[in-house]
Amino acid sequence: MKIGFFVPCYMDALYPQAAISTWELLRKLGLDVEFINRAACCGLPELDMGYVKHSCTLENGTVPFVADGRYDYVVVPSGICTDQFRCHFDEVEQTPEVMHFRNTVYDPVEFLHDVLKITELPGHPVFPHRVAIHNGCHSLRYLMEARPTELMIPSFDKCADLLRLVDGIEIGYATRRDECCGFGGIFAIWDPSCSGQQGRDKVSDYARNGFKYVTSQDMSCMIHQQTVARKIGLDLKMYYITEILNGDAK
Amino acid sequence: MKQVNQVKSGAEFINRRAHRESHDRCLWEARMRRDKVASTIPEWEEMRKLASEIKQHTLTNLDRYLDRFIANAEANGIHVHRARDAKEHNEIILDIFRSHGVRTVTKGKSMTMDECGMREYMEAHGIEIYEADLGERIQQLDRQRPSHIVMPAIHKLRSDVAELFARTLGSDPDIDDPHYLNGVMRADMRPRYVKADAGMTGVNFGIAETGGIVVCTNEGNADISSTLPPLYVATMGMEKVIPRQSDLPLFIRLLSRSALGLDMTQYTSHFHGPRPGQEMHLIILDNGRSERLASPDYWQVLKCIRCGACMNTCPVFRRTSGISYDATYMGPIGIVLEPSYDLYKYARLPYSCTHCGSCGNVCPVKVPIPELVFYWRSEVVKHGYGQPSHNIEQAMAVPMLKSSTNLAMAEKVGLWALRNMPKALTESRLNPWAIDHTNPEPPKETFRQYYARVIAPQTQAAAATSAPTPQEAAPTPQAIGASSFPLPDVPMYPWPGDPLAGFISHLEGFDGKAVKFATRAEALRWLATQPEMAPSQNAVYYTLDDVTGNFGEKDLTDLRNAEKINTCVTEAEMGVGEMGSVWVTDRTLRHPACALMSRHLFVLLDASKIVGGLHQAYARLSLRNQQYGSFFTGPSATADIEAVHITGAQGPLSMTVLLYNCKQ
Repeated sequence: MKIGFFVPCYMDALYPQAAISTWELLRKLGLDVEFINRAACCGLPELDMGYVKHSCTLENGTVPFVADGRYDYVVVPSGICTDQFRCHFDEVEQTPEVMHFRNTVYDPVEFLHDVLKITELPGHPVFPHRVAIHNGCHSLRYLMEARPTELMIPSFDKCADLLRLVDGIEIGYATRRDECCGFGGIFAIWDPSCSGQQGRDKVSDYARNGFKYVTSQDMSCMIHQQTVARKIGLDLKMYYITEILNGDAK
Repeated sequence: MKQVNQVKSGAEFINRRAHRESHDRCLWEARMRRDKVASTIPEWEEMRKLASEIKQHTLTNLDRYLDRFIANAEANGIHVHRARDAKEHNEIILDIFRSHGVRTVTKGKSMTMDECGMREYMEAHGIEIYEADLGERIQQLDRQRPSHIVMPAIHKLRSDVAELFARTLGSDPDIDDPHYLNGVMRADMRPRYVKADAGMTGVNFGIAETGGIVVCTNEGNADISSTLPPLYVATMGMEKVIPRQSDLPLFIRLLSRSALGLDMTQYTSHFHGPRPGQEMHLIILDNGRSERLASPDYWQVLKCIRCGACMNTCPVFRRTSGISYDATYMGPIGIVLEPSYDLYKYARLPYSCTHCGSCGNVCPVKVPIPELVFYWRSEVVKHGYGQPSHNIEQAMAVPMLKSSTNLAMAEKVGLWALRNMPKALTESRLNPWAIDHTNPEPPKETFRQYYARVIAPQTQAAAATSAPTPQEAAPTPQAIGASSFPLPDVPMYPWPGDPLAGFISHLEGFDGKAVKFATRAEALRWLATQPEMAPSQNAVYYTLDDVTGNFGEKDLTDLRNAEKINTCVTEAEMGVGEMGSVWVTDRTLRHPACALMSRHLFVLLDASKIVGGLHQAYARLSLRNQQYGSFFTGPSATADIEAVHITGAQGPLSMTVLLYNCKQ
C-alpha cells in the first residue's frame, strides 16, 4: 500500500510541525509514505473566493502529482484541503485517476480512524493535560468527522476517539463546542472585525472553561485562534492533533 | 447604485458591545432551544429530508399545484390575484383598498410584503398601515427594516425600545421593562384593530388540495387583523404552495421548532375563505420567483419556509445583526437570495460567510446554502463584480500557488519578511490580519526544507512492513443534481407518551392553564366560580348552550364590539398532546374575532378528544369545511424585545382549558 503525502501550502510555510508529526506518525505505523514534493496548492483559496478560472489553473497544476495513479491513498493533513479535493475538485477533467484520487484522499483523522482503524498509537505517547477539541468546520460538517450539534444523529467524534489512545489525556470542549472560530480563509482578511470577534469569543470560551491546551484536525483554525489568543494575552497553546498523537506536544 | 457593504455596517454593530452581546446571546439561545426540542423527535432528520423532497416536488410541478390551489381557493370564495412583480402587487392592493374606501389597515408580519415595499407605497398613497407585530411595529416606528425574519427588532436593547416608545408613543422613558413596553404596544394597537378598515397578513403555506392558507404567529395580531375587519388581504409568495393537507403537519412540526425552539406557534391558523360579511383577497407574488425556478443552479432557494433558523446559527449574523445586510432577506438565506434580485448591488453579500456550514444543517427544508454561497461568489466574479483588490490579489496568487517551485520561493520571501521586517511594519494597520491577531511565529524551516534535510536521506532506509489493510469504502464526491422529484408519502409519525399528560405539560409550557374534571357539569360549576365570569364586572361572550354570559349575538351587530369582551367561553373540537394545542373553528367560536379579542379565554375540551401527535390531529380534520380553523396553543405571547418571553401580547392574556371526562 502506497500513501501519498500532500502538504498544504499554508502548513508548509507557517506550521510545518503539523506535517512533520503526521509524516512521522504514518512512518511509525509502518506505512510506505511518499511526500508529494511537486504538488503545490489544491485551489481552495481561489475557488473559495469565486475565482473559478484561477482555481482551475491551480487544480491542473496539482493533478499530475496527486492523481498519477501510483497512490492507494493520499493523506492531507488539513480538513479544508481534503474537503476541497474530495467535494470541490471539479475544475479538472474527471479522469479515472482523478476520481480514484478524490475517493481515496483523507485527512489524518479519517485515515487513522476509518481506514487504518488503529487501536493503539506507536510509542505510547503521553499528554497529561486537559485538552479542548476544536473540530474544524470543514472536517466537522463536510467530512463529518464528528456529529455537528445541529444534526439529530448519534454522537461520535473521531478526534476524541484517537486522542483517547493517548495516555493521561483528558478531553473536553468549549461551551459552544462547534461554533465557527471565524477563520474562514480569506474571510479573516475580508472581514477582520467579525473574524476577530469570533476568534476572541472562541478563545475566551476555552479560557472560561479552564483549558490551557486546544487541538484540532485543522491547523488553519489553530493558527487563527493561537494568534488571536496571543493578541489578547490568553495563555493557550494550540496543537495540531498529530502533534499529540505522535508524542511531539509537550 | 451603491453596493451594500455588510462588512462595514457589521463592524459598527460589533463595536456596540452591549448590543452585540445581547443579540448573540438571544439568537444562540434560540438555536440551543431548537437543538433541545429537535432532539426529542426521533424522526427529525427524516422529516427534514421529506420536507425537502416535498418542496422539490412541488417546485418542479409548481404550475400544476398553483392552478389547483387557485381553483380551490376561488371555490372557497377567496379573490385570487397574481402579481408579476412588486409594482403590480402594490397596485393590485391599492385598487382593492381604494374601491373599499380603506384608510387604515392593521397588518401582521409579512416578508413578502416587505419585499414589495408595500407599506411605504401605501403610506405614499395616503393609506395608514399599522404593523401589528411588536417587533415589526418597533421597526416601523424607528423607520428601519426588520433585522430578522421572525424577530424583527432583536438587534435592539430594551433601552432602545423604551426611548423609541417614549418618543413615538408617549410612554415613560425611564421604564424599560419589556412587559411594560409590550403593554404600551397593546394599549396603542387594540383600538386600532377596531378602527381598521382592512387587515393584512402574510402566508406560511398554501394548500393546493384544499385551497386554504395557513398563517403561523405568536402574538394574535395576525388573527385579529384577518378576522375582525370587513376586508382581509393576504400576500403569498408563489413558492409557498404545498400539495396536500397531510403534508402540513410535517412542515408545522418543523417550522416553529426550527425558528424559536418552540413546539408550536401560539396561533396556527387556517383560512378557507372570508368570514361572513367579509371580503378576502389573496395576492400570489412572483417577483423573480419564476426566474429563480428556471435556474438549474439556485432554484432550491425557493424551498425556504422563512423560519430564520439559519440566522440564529450563523456566527457572522449573530455578531453583526440583520440590519448590516441592508436587504429584505438577511443572514445566510439573504446572502444567497438577494444576489438573485440584484447581483451588482448585493455582490459583496456572499462573502459574509465563513463557510462553517451550520446553516445547511439547521435548515428544516435543506436549502443547500453553503453550496449556493460558492455559486454566488463565482457568479459575482464571472460578471466582473468582484472587488478590484480581490481581482488583483487572486490573480497574483495564481503564479505563486501553481507550482511547488514558485510556492517554495514565495514562502521563502514571506518567511524572510516575517522574520526580519520590523513588527511596526508587519503588524501595522496596513495588514488587516494584525488588527485582531499577532503574526504567526515563523518556523525555522518549512516542511519542504525539513524533508530535504532530514527525511529524504532516510527514505531509502525505511522499508514498509505489514501495513494494515484498509477496510472501509471511501465516501464518494456528492452526486449533484437529480432529474425527477417524486412526491413522497408522509408517514403518520406517532407521538409517544400519554396524550392527556402531554397536552397538559405542553400547554403549561406555553403559559396556558389546564384544569381536569370528571364531568362536563363539574367543569361548568367550577367555571361559574371564576372571577372572570362575574357578569357584573365582565362582558362574557359564550358560544355554548350550557353556559350563560352577558354578551351574545345581539351585542355583535357590529363585530367591532368584540373589543368590549373580557371573557370568552368556548369549546374545542380536539386537543394535541404533542404541543398542548386545542383545535378551534368558526363553527365552535362562531366569531373567531371574539375569542381573539377577549382578555381571558376559557376553552372546554373533552379529554377523550386529545390525540397524541400532530399527524394524527390533521388526519381527523377536514380543513376545507371550515372558514377558520386554528390550533391555539396558550395565550398570545411575544419575545420580540431582547427575547424576553411575555405572555399576553395582542390577543388573550390568559387561556384556561377545562378538561372534562378525565378519569380521576
